[in-house]
Amino acid sequence: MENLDVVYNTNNYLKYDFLDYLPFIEKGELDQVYRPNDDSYLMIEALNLEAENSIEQGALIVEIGSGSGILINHLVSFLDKKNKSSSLAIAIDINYDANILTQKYANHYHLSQVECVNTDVAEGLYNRLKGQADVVICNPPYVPTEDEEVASAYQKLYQKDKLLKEGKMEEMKKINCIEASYAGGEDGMVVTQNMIDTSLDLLAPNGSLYIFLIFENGVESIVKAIQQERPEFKCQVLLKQRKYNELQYVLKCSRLK
Amino acid sequence: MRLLSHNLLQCNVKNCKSNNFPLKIQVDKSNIINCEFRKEPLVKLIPKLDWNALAITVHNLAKNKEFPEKFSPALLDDQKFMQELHRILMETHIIEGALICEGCNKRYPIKNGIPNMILNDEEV
Repeated sequence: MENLDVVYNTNNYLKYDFLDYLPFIEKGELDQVYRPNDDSYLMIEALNLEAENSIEQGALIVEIGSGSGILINHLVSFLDKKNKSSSLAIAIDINYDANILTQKYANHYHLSQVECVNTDVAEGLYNRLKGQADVVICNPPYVPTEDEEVASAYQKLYQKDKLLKEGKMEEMKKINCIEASYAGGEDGMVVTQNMIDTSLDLLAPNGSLYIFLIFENGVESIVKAIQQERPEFKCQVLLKQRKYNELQYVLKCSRLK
Repeated sequence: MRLLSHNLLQCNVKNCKSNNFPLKIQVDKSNIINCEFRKEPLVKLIPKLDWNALAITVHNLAKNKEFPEKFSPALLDDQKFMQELHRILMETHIIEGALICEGCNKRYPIKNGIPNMILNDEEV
């Protein structure tokens, strides 16, 4: 992409205070959520840099699709350590097990600003959070798959939710919804597009969205569409790396004042 | 679920447009869990709160009969009040229970401190 310079150079070695999730994880807990990988670590690196350079004190943070909670917990921790504590960090996930794990992770590291909500994207929060979020984080289900895979993933999620509401915990545990964390349909954008649109709506003036994307998602078209349809936002690529066969980006979209 | 989060949750059932905020809280199990008081972030949070909804909720839960119905800037300098606000927003947890919409009667369960806002197909 000729017209999008990369803001930071990535360091492939870890240069931040890593909050290890292994000490408190129980057997099987990581099977139900997205296991942190290179995408997660690239995002953490970006969040560490932005916590230092850009994010202000008292930020209201929202993560859409928190999974294990690794991203939001790290950002809250970085800001605490830099004496720029956030005011509230809402970790949203449609998968109840993700909420439980995120909460466990936050409690273990005494991150008292973290609150977990079990919902689809921002349903139930949208009206009150619109225009209020200083930071939105998203590592979306970006993998290009058949659209059917997305449909079947969501079918399992709703089945799991139904069993949870009926109190059938043993049956609920047998349903594994891991696909919903990565299955993105055509171009990996079927769910991702909605997450981008909603995230931009939630941003406060001067607020920023940090989103992970890969080349196949059509990063250039995404940026172009935002520039054309929503010119009140400015886009920058913060980090870029090639991992195996993926060209990975952390995109920052900021709402101008 | 802290009372702070409750201030951000609204019923989103299709066509449910009135009496959908704040949601009524059914408390089956609650807890006060102490956490660090940070004044500056709390001050930054205040403009984002729906103060009216907060006052209604605090009164209904009998958490504080003297909680002011309206916000005034003088409260920021009232150290005792700010500590109380911190206790209400950040330290009061609903662990088990439900959120109930007074407009359409939809019930959103709270389990292990996590509110479930997911709708059934018909409600979307």
